[in-house]
Amino acid sequence: MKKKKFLAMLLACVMTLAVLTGCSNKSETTPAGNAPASNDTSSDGGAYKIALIQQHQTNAFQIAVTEAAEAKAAELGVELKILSADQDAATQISQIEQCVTEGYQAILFEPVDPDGLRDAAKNAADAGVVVINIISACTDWENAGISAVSYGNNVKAGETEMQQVADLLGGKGNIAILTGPSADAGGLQRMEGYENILANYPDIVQVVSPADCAWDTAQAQATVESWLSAYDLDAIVCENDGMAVGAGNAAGANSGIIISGVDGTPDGFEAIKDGRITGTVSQNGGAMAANGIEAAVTLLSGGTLETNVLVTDNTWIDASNVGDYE
Amino acid sequence: MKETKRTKTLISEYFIFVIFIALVIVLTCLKPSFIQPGNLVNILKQASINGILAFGMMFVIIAGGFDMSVGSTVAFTGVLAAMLGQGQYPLIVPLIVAMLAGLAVGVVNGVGVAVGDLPPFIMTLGTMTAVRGLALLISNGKPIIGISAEYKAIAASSIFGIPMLAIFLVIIIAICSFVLAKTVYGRRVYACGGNLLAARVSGINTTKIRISTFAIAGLLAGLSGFLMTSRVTIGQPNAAESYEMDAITACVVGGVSMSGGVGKPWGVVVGCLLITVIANGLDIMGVSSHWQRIVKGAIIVLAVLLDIKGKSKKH
Amino acid sequence: MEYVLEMKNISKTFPGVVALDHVQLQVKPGEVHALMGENGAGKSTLMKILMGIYTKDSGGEILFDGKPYDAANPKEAMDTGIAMIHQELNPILDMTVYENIFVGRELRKNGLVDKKAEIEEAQKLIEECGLHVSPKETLRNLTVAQCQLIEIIKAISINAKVIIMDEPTAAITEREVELLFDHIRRLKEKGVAIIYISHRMAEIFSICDRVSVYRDGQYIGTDDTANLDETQLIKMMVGREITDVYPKLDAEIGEVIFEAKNIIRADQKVKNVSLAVRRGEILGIGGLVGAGRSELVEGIFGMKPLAGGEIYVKGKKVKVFSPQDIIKEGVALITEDRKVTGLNLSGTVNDNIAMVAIKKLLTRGLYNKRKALNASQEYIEKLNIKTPSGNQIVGNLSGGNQQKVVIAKWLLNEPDIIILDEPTRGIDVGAKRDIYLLLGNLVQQGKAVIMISSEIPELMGICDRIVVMCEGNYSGEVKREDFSQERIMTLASAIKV
Repeated sequence: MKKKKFLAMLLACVMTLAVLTGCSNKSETTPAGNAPASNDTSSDGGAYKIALIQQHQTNAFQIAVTEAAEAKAAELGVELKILSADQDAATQISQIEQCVTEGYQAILFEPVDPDGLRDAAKNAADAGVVVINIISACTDWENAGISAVSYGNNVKAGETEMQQVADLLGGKGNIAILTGPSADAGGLQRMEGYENILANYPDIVQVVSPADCAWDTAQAQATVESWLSAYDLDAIVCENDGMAVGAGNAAGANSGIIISGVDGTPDGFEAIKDGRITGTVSQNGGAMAANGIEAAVTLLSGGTLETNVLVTDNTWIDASNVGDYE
Repeated sequence: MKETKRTKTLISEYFIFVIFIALVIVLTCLKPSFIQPGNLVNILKQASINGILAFGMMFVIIAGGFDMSVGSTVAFTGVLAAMLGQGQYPLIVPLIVAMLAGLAVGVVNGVGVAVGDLPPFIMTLGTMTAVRGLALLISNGKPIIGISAEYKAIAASSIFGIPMLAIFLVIIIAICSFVLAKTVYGRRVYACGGNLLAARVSGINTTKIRISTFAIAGLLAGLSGFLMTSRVTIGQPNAAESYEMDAITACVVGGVSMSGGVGKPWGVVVGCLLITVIANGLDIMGVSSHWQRIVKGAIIVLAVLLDIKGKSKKH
Repeated sequence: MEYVLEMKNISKTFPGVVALDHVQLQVKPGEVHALMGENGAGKSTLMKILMGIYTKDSGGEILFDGKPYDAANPKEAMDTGIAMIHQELNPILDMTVYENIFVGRELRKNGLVDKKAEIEEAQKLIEECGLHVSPKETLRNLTVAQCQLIEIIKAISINAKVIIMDEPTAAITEREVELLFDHIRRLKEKGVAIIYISHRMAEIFSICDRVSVYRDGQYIGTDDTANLDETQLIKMMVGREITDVYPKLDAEIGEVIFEAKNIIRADQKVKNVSLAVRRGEILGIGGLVGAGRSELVEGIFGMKPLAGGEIYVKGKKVKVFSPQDIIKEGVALITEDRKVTGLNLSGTVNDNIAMVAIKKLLTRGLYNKRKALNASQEYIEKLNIKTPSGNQIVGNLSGGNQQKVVIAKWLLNEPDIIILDEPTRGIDVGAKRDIYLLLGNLVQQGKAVIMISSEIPELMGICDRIVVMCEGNYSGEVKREDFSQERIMTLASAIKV
């Protein structure tokens, strides 16, 4: 009897806690000097209500997206709500539906799955909401009611990275590739980029098949350690910085092996500075988000876009220019 | 009759050792570089963290429990250690804090199971999720960089060619083995797992013992978190995903029975080495990680089958 | 002093139930004191209070050696000098004999476990008890009987002044019972008192000095065993006179309805046994523990593989590969271990009764709850199952009532041949009688009953014939007119007269 009461109280406390955290987690940026009372969906008078639904918020890349979006929203005076789908497609679909019901005028999101989220996007667009994809796009987005896409180009990022490596290798050498989780769309696109470039360099040889290290530093470190004892590698190309850092740890600073990553996150920069990795490709997720918000505001205020495909360039960052990007 | 029975038990007890040796031989034949001292050092390094976790897990399983949360605890304590290991404090600080934080998680698990009567699977599943969330919260989702050079040096250094990580592992193995085999506490851990009711009516404070096993697992997870950060040079909130599965695998493969009350330390050592060698060997041969999972899974099933066959003999 | 243990005015209430109502117990040093009473009388509860497993209600006191006693947990009880051998064995199967003996009281040297001393000490104790095992043997490799003896050794080694033995002979052979009694006599000489709980009348009169009787949570009285006879004792326990402990009803015996020929088990636990039973007949299967009787019926019932033999039900040859094959021919088996293979302890009475004959409870292919409830209610009344309602969780019922639920479950399927393995083990006198009457009724209807039992008086009381097994073989058969204890024991021990 006593145990039941205690457990019931505990449950009540936990649920209260959950509600409270839920309330405080919505990063609402209400512009200064605007009465926050209005909850109606009128698009004239009052700040625009925009929602941003990220794929997840658990790495530096995504954090950069969050921060840039908040800054842009404050700059433009829009009310921005940011949610995270925690890498679950069903969650993201529910979140989109919810935002439509709550009267958000524009929804920006990075689809957890390019096919799975297509219908949700179309439904939102049909309900009159401006829908924009950032960072990656739904399949056949033009016919799904999506007004614009603001992304980098994972394929191009892969190409930039592999081209740099090829140049540094002088067109020939032994390489190995570390990939993200096998079904990951972003990862697959980067691999496409790698293969595009490798097609031009028959003397660059992959001495082992690519290893799936699931974006994880420790896993990459263990795999590369094992590889280095058995193979002679001139370059290790990694689909993200996390794994590049692991590869760099295994090889040691200034090992003479070219190690590259993608994303441009702080751990990657640190590794560039102390010589563990050679360079990375910055995707500038922040810029993608910011451009997306700008496009949304343009459309909401009745304007038209020059182009509805906004591509953010990627940049190769190595020891020579890492200081500029930190 | 007695002779064959004895040899049968011997084989099933040492079966895993036999498989291990067989695997090492096969790998050496396929890729001679496997046996190079450089690679052996790699194997030791790679086995250390899993080994330390496995020994903590051993206490929990022998006492009749189960802990799904150690991976998250490693990540959480690893982030804590990274935050405190930037050079602003002597290294003993992140070490102690990481271990204490791990201990706290362990105690929470233990109390939930032994006092709250929650099934260990459910309780530790809850802590697994919550602690992972904690890790993400305090790190703000980003890996913590900037740890001091001395901190990095811990995992990178070696004594007489033996990596520091392996030395930590050996010390933990020695302590744990001693406790389990020679102390009254160790004997009682086996009793709790063997027959909880019997232990209780024999006057053993089973609640205290069960809580303490979870606490030990948490403490060792904290140590692993500290070491992990040193090894990968960053405090990654996403680290150690599924490390609890590897720890459990090492135990089960090493002859620790999932129903409790049975398990020898040397078995866990072999189990842990087996897993590491599989990963290392298959990496060297360039085999995809998907195959590694299939092989790991097959070995677990085999090990558990042998365990059950051995138990079904009487009662 | 007069008493080593005095329990005065002890009460214990659980929600909705008064388990003990101001009862008492006085035990003299060096005496063997029996506690008797039907299941639910309160004997186990009283002992659990003594051992610190339950807390008594306020009021009442316990004196040990003249001093106030209040154990909050088993460890305190043992430290004070009271040990208990529980009815449900508690061996730690994966530990060795010496580890089991010393669990919770490990011998130490320099703060660590002193294995050598434990092994030596264990060896001494084992020899004293006449057991032939190595102290280093793992319990998983020993028989149930050996495990029970080790439990007894454990309690003895605590050097307690009072040892409680709860059904200590349930699973051991006659020879081992004698060894136990020898040891009890030795303990008496040392001044150790023994509280002996058992349903076996013969044992009570054989080894106990005095007996205290409890009924429905009340203390009835205490007397020397020399002053009582069985009828008087039963009257105290049940509250009424039962003159026929083994009621035998008249039934017409007809043609052979079931035959098992040359049954050999794949694992050789049964080597070549044949038996046949007729309509209206109660056939007993006697033998010592380990004779292979349970193994025989398990094999016949399809639970374990056979290497040879034929089974005929109502003249028709039946191939049995699984219980389903023989159940549908109208055979039922009520197993030895109701808690493990007979009941869903966490289910209700209704659920359990409906388990086997579920096809009879369907309407258009779907489970009809109403039909099930009616069937269950019918059997609750027919078998006199004491339960507050059909929704009572079976695990909460007393042993006797649980056994009745198992029987009801099988009877619902309307079998013609009912096999029972130790059906009255651990059940009190009143419930036992109910079961004997039930079996008598069944054979009056033209059914046949086969009953395995280790209690010769029970077999002689209600069976028409007794088949005896010994070490996996058929040893012989005795007809009712030739029944005698010696005859049956001789066949059971395979001593050629």
